[in-house]
Amino acid sequence: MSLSNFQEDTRVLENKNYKGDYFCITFHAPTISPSVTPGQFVHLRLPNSPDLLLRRPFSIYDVDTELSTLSLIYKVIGKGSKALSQVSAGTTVNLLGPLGNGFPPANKEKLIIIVAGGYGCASTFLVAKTAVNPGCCILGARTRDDILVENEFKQTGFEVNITTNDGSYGHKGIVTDVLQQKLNGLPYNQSASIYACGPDAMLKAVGRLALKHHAESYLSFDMPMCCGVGACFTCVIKIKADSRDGWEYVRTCYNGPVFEANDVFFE
Amino acid sequence: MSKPDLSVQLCDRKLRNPVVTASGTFGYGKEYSGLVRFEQLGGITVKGVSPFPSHGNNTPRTSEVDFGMINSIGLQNPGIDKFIAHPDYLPFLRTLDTAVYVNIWGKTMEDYAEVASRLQAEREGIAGLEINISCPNIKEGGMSFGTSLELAGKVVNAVRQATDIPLITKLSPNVNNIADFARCVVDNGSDMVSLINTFPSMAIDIYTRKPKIAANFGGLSGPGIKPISIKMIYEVSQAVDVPIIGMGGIFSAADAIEFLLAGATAVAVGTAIFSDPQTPIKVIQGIADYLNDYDIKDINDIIGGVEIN
Ligand SMILES: Cc1cc2nc3c(=O)[nH]c(=O)nc-3n(C[C@H](O)[C@H](O)[C@H](O)COP(=O)(O)OP(=O)(O)OC[C@H]3O[C@@H](n4cnc5c(N)ncnc54)[C@H](O)[C@@H]3O)c2cc1C
Ligand SMILES: Cc1cc2nc3c(=O)[nH]c(=O)nc-3n(C[C@H](O)[C@H](O)[C@H](O)COP(=O)(O)O)c2cc1C
Ligand code: FES
Repeated sequence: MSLSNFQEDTRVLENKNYKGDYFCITFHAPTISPSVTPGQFVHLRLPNSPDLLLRRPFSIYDVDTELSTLSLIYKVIGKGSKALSQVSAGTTVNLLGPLGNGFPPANKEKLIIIVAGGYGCASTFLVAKTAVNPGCCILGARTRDDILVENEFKQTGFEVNITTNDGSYGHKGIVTDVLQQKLNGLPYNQSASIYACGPDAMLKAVGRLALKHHAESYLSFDMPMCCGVGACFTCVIKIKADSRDGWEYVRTCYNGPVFEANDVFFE
Repeated sequence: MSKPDLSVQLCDRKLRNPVVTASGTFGYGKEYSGLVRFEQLGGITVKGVSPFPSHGNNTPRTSEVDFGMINSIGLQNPGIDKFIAHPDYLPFLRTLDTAVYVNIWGKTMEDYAEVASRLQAEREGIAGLEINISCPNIKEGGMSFGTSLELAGKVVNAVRQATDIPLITKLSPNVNNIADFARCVVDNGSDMVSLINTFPSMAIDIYTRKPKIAANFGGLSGPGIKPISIKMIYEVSQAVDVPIIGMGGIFSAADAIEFLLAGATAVAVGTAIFSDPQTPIKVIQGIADYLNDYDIKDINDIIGGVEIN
């Protein structure tokens, strides 16, 4: 749990349509941006939307420490994200952040494999950007239009693999097809560290595969949130525990959103 | 201009101002450290504690709705042993410069008494216990105690036997005559009352036809319930002579002042904290501004000050 949470009135510098339903928004956030680690998120109060009482959580896609900015990539799926897409540059937006425990720093000896489903690329991009030794990433989505930030990942030196369910771009299939190949192809003296964010089913499959290959893997869960800071117990997932049932509900906003696959209680 | 006196008396404890946090919306305090200045708050109320650890309900547990939200957390908590011993809970709360109220619940009468007696032995740093007999989100106990006069009286009595820590009983709005319940719990030894807890409610996703909450139903809180809260507080203030902690939809100082005028001695901010963690602080400042504007020196001069037609 991060002890350096801040609440900051930030200024929107840019909010542009990235492609299709996806947008990229950049804030001037001098208080929050310096302490961001990969995989953390902000909890955002929508301006001019008094009817939207609750904040909305978004992964921090990128930070620029010199300009003190942070950016998010988001998909318009409901009222809140729609309202966000209509916010113009210059607007003040209140953020809580940087929240949560993100991805741990990578071990230099290991091959980093990033697995991102849909907007999961947002929470994993900083892993690539800050990695000492570039590894590979697997970006998966339903269709070509949902593949995001491919070039940005390439610029970090990471090898980029694409999968789409409909085969409209890259490998036709799912991210674990490629992950399986990568893990099978590892030299005997090389181990991998997997960093994943995406839908629950994808995380479960990635976690299972990683455990089978004795690869360490860190999974970032997007659970619906309310407070975003650990106060309300909305955002829980099952984590292994020595309780009667073998698990306990743990707050993803406070103890996560990133958990080691080994700790997650998959049903 | 001299600063108005915002302090209010809740039993043996004087609060620096009348604004506390509502149970279940402020975790165990620690979650907001760094974000909220505890030493500016009148007090905090922590999430409900039971004798046993509790998983709570399945997810999804909350849903935003028009003018509020529905929650069905199901009182997830670490249990009294961990609450007392673990550094994140009571030991942390004891370090705070604010009044700490511990919300308690159980499935049986004995459960309530057990938590109370455990806390009696650890009472240092606890300003009061809030007996939750009004949670709509658990199958046993909870609201069934709060909607039967007989059970409400018994449960409060059992807790009273177990402790001399000041007691607040949290009343359910889901009753015909809330004033009767206030009288009943006070007659059975409750030093104060707090109201209101949430209303049973439901929201349905029209595309999947599934309820938006895993437990199907949850409790409604937020701005939409405020006018109902105010009426109930007014009614209770006419029925009993003990301090009332008023809550239900407070988002601004103006909201809080309405509660004070209706007869609440203190107010609790809940759902609004999710929207803006600074809400309690803003409410305190706004109350001070209001008193200044009307040249009122002491907040107690507006408590119960509604002029009924
Ligand atoms: C840690 C974390 C990181 C996230 N990062 C991103 C990101 O980088 N890009 C992106 O596009 N989206 C991200 N999401 C999902 C994003 O928060 C939701 O898409 C957004 O809240 C939907 O709000 P809405 O009002 O448009 O939709 P609605 O469906 O109208 O929202 C209603 C309620 O449900 C909650 N909700 C609905 N779907 C989700 C969801 N998938 N996750 C969390 N809460 C949800 C909302 O917060 C709100 O309270 C992230 C979620 C979490 C928890
Ligand atoms: C997420 C959530 C959790 C809650 N948990 C508790 C609880 O554990 N015990 C309790 O007595 N009340 C609980 N409540 C009720 C609140 O304390 C309060 O009575 C109610 O929400 C009305 O106030 P509000 O509209 O300001 O939120 C909870 C409310 C919410 C929204
Ligand atoms: S969203 Fe409130 S505890 Fe995580």
